[in-house]
Amino acid sequence: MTYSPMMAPVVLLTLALAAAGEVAAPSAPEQAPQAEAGVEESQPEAPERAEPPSPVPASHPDRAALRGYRQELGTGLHTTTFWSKSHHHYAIHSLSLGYQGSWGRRGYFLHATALLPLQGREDDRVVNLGAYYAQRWGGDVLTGYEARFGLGRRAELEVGGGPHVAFVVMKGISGYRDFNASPMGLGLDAVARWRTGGSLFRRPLDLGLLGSAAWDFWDPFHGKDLKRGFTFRLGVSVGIASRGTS
Amino acid sequence: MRAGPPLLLALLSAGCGTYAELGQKLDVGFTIAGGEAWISASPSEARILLLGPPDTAQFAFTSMELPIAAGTAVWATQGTFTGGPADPTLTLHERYLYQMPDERGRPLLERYGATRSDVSANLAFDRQTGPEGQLVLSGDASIAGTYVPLSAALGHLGSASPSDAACAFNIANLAVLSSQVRIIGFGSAAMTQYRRPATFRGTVQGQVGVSVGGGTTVTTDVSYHQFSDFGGVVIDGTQTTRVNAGGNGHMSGIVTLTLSPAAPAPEIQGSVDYGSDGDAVQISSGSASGGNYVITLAGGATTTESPVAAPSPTVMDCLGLAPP
Repeated sequence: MTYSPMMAPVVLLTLALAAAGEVAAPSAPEQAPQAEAGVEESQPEAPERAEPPSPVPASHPDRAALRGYRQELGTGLHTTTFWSKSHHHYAIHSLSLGYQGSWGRRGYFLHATALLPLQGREDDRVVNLGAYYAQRWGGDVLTGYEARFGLGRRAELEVGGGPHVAFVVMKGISGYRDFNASPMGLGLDAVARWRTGGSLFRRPLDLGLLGSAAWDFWDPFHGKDLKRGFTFRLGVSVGIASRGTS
Repeated sequence: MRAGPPLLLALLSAGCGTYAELGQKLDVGFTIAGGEAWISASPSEARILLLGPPDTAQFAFTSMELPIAAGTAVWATQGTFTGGPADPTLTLHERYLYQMPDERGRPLLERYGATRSDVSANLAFDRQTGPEGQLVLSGDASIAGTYVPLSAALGHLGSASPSDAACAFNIANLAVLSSQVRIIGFGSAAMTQYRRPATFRGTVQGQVGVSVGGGTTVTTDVSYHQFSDFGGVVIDGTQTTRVNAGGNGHMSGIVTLTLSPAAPAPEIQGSVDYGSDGDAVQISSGSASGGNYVITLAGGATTTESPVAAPSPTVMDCLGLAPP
């Protein structure tokens, strides 16, 4: 695989995120302990000690509620649409089921989603994918850096962004051609969570609405045929937050 | 003949090249029985127009670029036509457009290979009959020309000399090239599609099967079964291409040929060996790069022909066709 200039934004973003993580540490001498605390924060039983210094005391109730991890399962609809340089416009609509996790009021997040492609569209032609493909599956991964904001006492908004990868693999029935696509790019993500007041595994239970959008510009398995693309996901989630964030 | 598919990794079994058409049927070609094939040629190109009987009025046209014996590019179209032999015009109503461009200069994973598009276009030609019964079409330059009946042109072929053997190969190779342009993905990494074998009908008769196997070394079998895209040219047998991850390897297999000119000229039979001992056709970056085709005719004539050298004699010379 050769280096493509289109990879540059991904590389730059990754470096920027790494730099942002380092900037979050207040000073060099304190950096190592902070980093260790950050690792612990991802553990369910770990004390919440990884918050970066802030003018607002760490014990401020609004900040405290935004701390810790979030581990959720989400389902919804997923669409990836793209234009090829061979002058075709595709859209693949899928059912999605995935995991989403994030760590800290400011931290990293990972959304990994499995896809079941249901309907496709090429130019003006709509295709019932189940009628032409014996096997259909796919995935979507969006990861990067996130920030949480309070929305009153029982809700929060998490927004983040970073590299995005989607892929769809479909094996044709006998006599029909296979189809696959793997657009990659940069994405933004938002999750609005509501603290139900209930608990699961003795941890606070959250319900959420999630949405993401990505700009795709590179497909390593289709040479230079990808002109541009966009991926959208909309769904609901349920999951738990770390203890002590109620 | 172009090489079979390169394959970089098993991961790529998902396919490469350009995006596929959604829900695309592999073979939509139709069989034209009882039609008449016409051929026109220049030193580096051969064009064959097959016009079906009036009841179906189907046509198939194939253009093959032949600057080297292996051929470099093919495009074809199929559909229906209006305008009988006595009419002053011939209109081709294109339904399918097949293209296999010359991609020898492109990286393997960026090759389009053979593609098919659904089209809806009409190409109108003024039609005249030449002094020796030729079909003279004036109009769109991609098809226009002076055509002679293929069955009559085949009467120029012999079976005694090495030159006759070379001509037999050049004509049989037209059928091979014509078949390849309809094998979607041929010449590109999208050939991984054929890990599940598929078959394609010959336009006149028979079929060609395609199958791909292997891991880092990929084996592609293209098997002809009484395959004919033009009346009078029938090929049979399997050509095999083995290439590594870089698209480098060689060919093997023997394909027999049967050329049937109009009576009273005798039928010509022979074979093409792609993997002759020590002289197999070599493949580099997915394209023929060396070695020789070894052609043997039933009459005893034999010769070798390099896939990367200009065909000698040319199709035009073999069939005694006038320059366009």
